[in-house]
Amino acid sequence: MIVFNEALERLADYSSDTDAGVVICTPMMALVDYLGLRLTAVTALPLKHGSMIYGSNDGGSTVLDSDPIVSARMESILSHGLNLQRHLVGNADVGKWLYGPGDLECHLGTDGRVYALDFGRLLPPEAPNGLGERSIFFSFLRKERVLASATPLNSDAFSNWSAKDPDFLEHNKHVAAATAQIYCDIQSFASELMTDSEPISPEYVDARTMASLWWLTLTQTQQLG
Amino acid sequence: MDEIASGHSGAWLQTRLHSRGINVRHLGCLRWALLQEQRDARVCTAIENTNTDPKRRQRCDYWARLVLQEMVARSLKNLFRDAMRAALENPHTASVIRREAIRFCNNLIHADAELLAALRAHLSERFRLPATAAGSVAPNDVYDFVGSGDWHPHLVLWKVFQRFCTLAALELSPRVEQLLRKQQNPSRTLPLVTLLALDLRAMNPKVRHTNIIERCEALSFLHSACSIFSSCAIRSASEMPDLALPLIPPSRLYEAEEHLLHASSKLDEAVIAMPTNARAQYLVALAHWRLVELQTDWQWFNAESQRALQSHFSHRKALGQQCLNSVMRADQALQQCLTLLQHRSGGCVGANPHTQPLYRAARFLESLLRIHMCVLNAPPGVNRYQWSTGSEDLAVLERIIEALRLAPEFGGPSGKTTSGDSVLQPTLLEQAHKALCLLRASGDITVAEYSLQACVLLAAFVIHLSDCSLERTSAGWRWACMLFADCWVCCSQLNDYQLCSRLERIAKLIATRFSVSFSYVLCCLYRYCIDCATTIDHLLMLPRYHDTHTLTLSLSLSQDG
Repeated sequence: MIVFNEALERLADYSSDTDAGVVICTPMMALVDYLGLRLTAVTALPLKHGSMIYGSNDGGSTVLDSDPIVSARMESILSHGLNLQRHLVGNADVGKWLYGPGDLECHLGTDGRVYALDFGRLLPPEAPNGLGERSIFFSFLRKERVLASATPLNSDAFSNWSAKDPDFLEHNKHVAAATAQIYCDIQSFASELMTDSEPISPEYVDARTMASLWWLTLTQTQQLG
Repeated sequence: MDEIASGHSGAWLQTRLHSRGINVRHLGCLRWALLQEQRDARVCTAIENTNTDPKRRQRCDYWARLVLQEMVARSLKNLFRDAMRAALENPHTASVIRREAIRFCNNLIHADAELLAALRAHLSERFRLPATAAGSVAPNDVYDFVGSGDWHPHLVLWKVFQRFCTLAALELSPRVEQLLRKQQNPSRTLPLVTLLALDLRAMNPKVRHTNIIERCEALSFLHSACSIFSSCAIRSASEMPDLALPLIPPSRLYEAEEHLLHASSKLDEAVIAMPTNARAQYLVALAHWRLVELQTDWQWFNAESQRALQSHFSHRKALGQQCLNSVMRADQALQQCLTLLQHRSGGCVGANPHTQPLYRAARFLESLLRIHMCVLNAPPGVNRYQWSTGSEDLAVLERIIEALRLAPEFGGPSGKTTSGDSVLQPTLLEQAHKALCLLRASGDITVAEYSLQACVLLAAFVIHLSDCSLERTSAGWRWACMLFADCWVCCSQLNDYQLCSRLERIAKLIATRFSVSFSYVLCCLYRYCIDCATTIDHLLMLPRYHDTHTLTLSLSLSQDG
């Protein structure tokens, strides 16, 4: 939920930009945890059979990318906004080149709007690391990590969704590198905690953050002239 | 170290990790890295034959313990959920579930051997160390920190317990923490604390949702960041940096920190999105402009250093308390007012709306609403507590409250409208509602404001109901419904059960007034809000309304049969 919450926020930031053409709508969702049980509620959408125009809803047997405008918009959102890698979803003959995970679906609703669904796997998985092969379906990289990656990352890395992609292994390597970077960052975070000359008190950290923000923007302003 | 950095908590750690793109499931790794640092330091000491920096050792212990505390609290939360699920599988009642929750808490406090074994297994499983970059698997932590029947050597039980309760959304009586704190004191030997059924006040659901408000808040982070910088530029007469962080009361520092981190990342994202996103381009340009303008001010502000900030925070704490007191006074006055209304109208608010006391009460509430709207309409960056700490508005408010308190039977209406119109016009209520929506969307709202808001909106609703000319189809009724719904949302978010019950009472009064059932009134209000969600203002309200209100509604309906 947290993962897709963040991803959705980002998706919404980009998809709500009406200057860029079609708006990709996302359903409102709520998740209630109570007494160890979890209820997920999603608003009913005005969809009908055969309304899908992007992605796959049958495990990759059929992959659609039939609307060039939606396709361009998804490229803009997922590639530029989320730093996701273009990859082949499905078989080489019937597969399509998509940016998000294969099971992300876009539908043309009966109200004329385009709705995106099933973005649970929107962010790339962490490389399987002793947690079993299935971990790629529930253990995802954080948004910050994906954005910080030097190369775009494949949401379908390590899964059969993009196994036919000629660069599949290369994409897996990129995801593995991003995962390995987590452990390096943990190490440096630990060192940072240890070597901080003054204990970081939450009372002052906002001032520090403001300072770093200020320097960041000042530098960028100077660069802009 | 504990004294210096006692402000750190699991939430702080979580924010830090997330901002670096690290999931909480890697806490085991972080602990391992910290312990490694400790070992390295020891080895260095042995080789170089020098004493390890004691501060470094202390720091290492502190962080390792904090990480472990967070891991344990999270594992306990999962075990608690398992226990609740198991209890629900058998025939159960509410009391059985409560008993089970209490039993779990008692096992936790008494360091029950079975629970500790499960905890150790869970920790090993959930925070398992992955293969290292070199391909070898790091040895897993055995978590031997808990000896049988004893929590104390490595963990501060009450802190673990506190964090566990936060994560599991358990609400316990203050007595529990007091007892646990006392028990933690090694100089005392006290019998083990045992929780009673009454100690468990509530087991709340945790609701998360993706909604429009959150998205609006995300977009407003940049504005907030700009406001913070703007306020740096506003120097008070005494040249104190009191106005530096006007948006952040001390009790919400963690949120503020997250807020700022988010603002920073939003700015980065906006920079990335500049070529395609016109709105982001505008915001970034605005931010740049303000930040450059504030360069010199920032240098001054930075130079003021931590000591000044410390005094600032203590000052703000006092301001917050004053504000709270003020709101409480307003609330008390409102209670008196409502009692007065009900008393004068023979138990039914709408029975005799044009009586003098009612009119006076309406005037008072109108003033309160106007004051509140002044607060709402304050420009970003202005200290919202100012109104409650000596401003003229407060003086007016206090005079009104005092007059109401001293003279419930006070004389004839001095300013009664000749046309007999409602004291609170629908347009005024509409404005109030819009201001509320804007405030909510700004992401800058405090509990005190919510409380006041709830009181004022409730009052406005009562006054509207008291207007005999009010028809169900009128604009007044429409806005009163919206305000009622807002009020409900406010008090739900505040978990203010007193206000909730008052709202229920009001709903019953409406039912009496219009001769319909209580359930019908609630359903109408609910449906009305859904139907009205055609404008952005309504949409802003709807999602939050959705999750809190449906629960309350279903509860109310079930109570009503």
